[in-house]
Amino acid sequence: MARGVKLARVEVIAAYPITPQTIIVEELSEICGRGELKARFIKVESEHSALACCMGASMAGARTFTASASQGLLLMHEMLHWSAGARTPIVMANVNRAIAPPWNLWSDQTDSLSQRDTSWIQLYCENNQEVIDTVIQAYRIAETVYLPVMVVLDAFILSHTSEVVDVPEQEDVDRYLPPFKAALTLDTNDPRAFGSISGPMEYQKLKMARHEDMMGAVEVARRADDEFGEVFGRKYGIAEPYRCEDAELILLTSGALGGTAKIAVDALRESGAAVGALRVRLFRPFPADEIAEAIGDAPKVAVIDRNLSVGAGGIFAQELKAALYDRERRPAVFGFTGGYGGGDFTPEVVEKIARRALEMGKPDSPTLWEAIP
Amino acid sequence: MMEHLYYDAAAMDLLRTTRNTLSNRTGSWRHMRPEFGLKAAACAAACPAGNPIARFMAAAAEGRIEEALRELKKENPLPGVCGRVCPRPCEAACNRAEFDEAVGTRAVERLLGDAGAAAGLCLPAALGKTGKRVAVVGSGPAGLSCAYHLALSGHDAAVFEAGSEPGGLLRFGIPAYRLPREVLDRELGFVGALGINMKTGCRVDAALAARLLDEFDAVVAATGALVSPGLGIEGEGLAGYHKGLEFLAAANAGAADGIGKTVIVVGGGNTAVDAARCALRLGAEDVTVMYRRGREDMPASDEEVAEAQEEGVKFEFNAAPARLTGEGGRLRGAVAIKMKPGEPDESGRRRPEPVAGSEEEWRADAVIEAAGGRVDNPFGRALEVDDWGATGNEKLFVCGDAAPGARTVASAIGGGKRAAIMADVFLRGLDTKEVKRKVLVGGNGAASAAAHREGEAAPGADGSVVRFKNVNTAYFSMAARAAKLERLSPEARVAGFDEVSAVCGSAAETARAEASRCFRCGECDDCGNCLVFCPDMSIIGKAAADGAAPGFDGDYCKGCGICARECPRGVIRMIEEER
Repeated sequence: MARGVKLARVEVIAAYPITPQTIIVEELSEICGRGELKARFIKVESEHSALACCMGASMAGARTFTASASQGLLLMHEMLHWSAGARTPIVMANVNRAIAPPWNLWSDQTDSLSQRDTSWIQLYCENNQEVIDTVIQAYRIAETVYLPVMVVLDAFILSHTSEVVDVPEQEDVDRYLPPFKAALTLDTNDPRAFGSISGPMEYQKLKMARHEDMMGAVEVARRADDEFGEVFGRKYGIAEPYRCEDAELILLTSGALGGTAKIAVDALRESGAAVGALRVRLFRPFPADEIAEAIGDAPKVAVIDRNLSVGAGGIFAQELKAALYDRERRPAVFGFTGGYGGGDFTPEVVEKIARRALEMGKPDSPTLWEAIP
Repeated sequence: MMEHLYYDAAAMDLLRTTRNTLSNRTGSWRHMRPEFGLKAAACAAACPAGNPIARFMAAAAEGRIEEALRELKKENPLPGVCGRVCPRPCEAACNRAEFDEAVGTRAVERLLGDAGAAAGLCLPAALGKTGKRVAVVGSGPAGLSCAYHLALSGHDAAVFEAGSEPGGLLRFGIPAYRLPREVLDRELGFVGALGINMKTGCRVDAALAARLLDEFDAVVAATGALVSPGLGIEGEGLAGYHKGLEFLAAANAGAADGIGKTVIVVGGGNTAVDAARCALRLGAEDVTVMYRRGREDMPASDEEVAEAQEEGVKFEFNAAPARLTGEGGRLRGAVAIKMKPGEPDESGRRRPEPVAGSEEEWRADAVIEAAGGRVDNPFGRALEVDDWGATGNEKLFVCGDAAPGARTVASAIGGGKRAAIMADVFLRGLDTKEVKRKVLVGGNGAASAAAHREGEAAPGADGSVVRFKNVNTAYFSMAARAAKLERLSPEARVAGFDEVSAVCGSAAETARAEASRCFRCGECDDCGNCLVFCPDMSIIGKAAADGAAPGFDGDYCKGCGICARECPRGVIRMIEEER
């Protein structure tokens, strides 16, 4: 993540440390300290201030970065709305971590997913190669639609494991990512007030415009990924299907679980079960068309949510159901949830989930538990 | 890739006002406003000499030693002296003490004073000649300071000194092991270079005093408190009984010998400790300071007491001689009686009372009396003197030990300065109240002669003193004290009158490093924090060369106070807006 931020030539970094994000900002502070990145690294007293700092810097025309997790992200909540409303194309890394109580440092996507209504674009990464690539793409997306982007990765599963990563060349990144230009510039000689009070007309117009621009971000994200592929030879898609052809069941996942699902699918296919996997990479905007297309005629989808909206169920399951409701082809959606707070969803657990879904005709409950003993 | 805009630019433009916001004068919302300008640092407010500590530290921290010395000499002509003998009230008040360790201000002052050996005069600019003549009687620290500041104010000062050399108490009262003579002579020379006429060997008696009052436009009495009260006990006529100041004067002039092997010094002030340490240096082997109160009531500085103890001086507390004993006119010893603390006296200390039946004879070859001296002012025994040195006679001023107040060198320098300012006010016909209101550092400390000469207010004259709570320590890093003293071994010390202490390390580097530790409370150094943090872009201007801060734009300042909060050194404070 830190190397990607450096390659993106970020100019202002403001962050407050929190496990498991700390290693990212520590590394960045050292990169700045060694003078390898000409950025202003601002120590702040809280995450709320970190994002406020980034917002000011972004409005002043600087490419900005922050990172957080869990409680830190929740403390930012007000500024998440504000920074998106102010159309500041900030990029943030969020390392999914469980929300207290009880204190727990392991992965749980509920922290970022509970920010889904803040107008932030979210991209969920499967592995560390995707992390470094996605942060570069994120600036491209953010600075095209003028909405902030959250790059999301699982605590420890990605944040604290080592993988061999192909680090892009700086000159390629420079070619892919031109310098940031603020849409609205600040001029101290002609001061304007930003985000001041407005009437119903302006308020609604701005909100609608934000929604339309966000919906347009599906195309922007897809093209940003395609062009990334042209320059660097790697692309991910905004939703990634895996062996979905003629599938009776598709396992819908996100984040690092996507890789686990691929291994499980290989084993299931080996045993003769027609199971595919679909990993959602872009969340907000929810790429409904891509997902519906990937599901195709499959009669069943098992969503594996490493998150929980208490009282409603897994969040991807809800999103999927809402996205499919108006479509002609509506598969049965099995909403499995679990694997958070350190519960390890191994390929065996994913296979078990698939077999449960295959055995059930229809979901016997909107929320299906798959708890780890 | 993106051939068209992927955002609604027209809608986004609604995020900002269409016209600029200069017409919105947010200053009208304000009920508090920032008040910029020099404040007194806690150290400066505590310095009896009114040293501009933050000011000279700023220059010294950047290695501009001559400039630092010139700043210091605007207020104090004797930095090399004060840098050695001062009991350091500045360091006791230093805000940095609550952060890590007080700044070694006295050591920096000493290094700056000693830099004068190479740097030369470094005198501040004097005002134009007034043609007024002022007689200053006494060339101790008060008289020197007074004559110096009178000369800087443009007056012709003539100093009358009874001794054969100038310096007063600095020369005969403070031994060379604490204040080397070359340091004293150098700084006296710098004062003399202002064109001050020094008449030595000229004792001013009542008759001459009257003549001076006739012939001069103003007269300042800085005659000290040199009359020994004696012990008031039987046996003071015996050979071997000495008065402290006389003994010190002889010792410091190299004219005292044969003090004997066993010596008792009676008293608890610095004079007593100096006398004891001199006795050791003159060959005494067993020296005891006998004090009628306890250790905690002793006026002598802790540093001096500790050094004396290292050298072998013994202390006998809660004891006093009841009578001296002798044989054939020669002292044999003293009968001492134990004392116990009684009811508090007017000084707040408990009055010692003798313990009946506790007499005990001490053998001694010499007994030195070293109680505080009394004033014998040739201008009048019972002169009423106010805090500023003014008397019932509008042209007569009194300062130093001859005036009420603390008896330290720094206090004497401060007193001399106050008397000089008052004499100047009298000679120029200025408004006394106005001047008094403007010149006191921190509103309650020593006077600033520089502020008076320049017609400006002293730092914090309105009573604003920067305390630790006003310092934003987020902007400072911990740093151990750089200026440390090293001392000769006790054996080497008592072998002669060589200076006991020295500042460790290279003078230039140590001065710079120690000065860098100074918070420079109350001094704007143009760090720009207020400018950066002001949400209304209402900080205007830059810091002035004298440390005065920039100002604010009243049209837009909302009075939020962020500038005051973020100022590292307490230059800005929020005050209620008068409307």
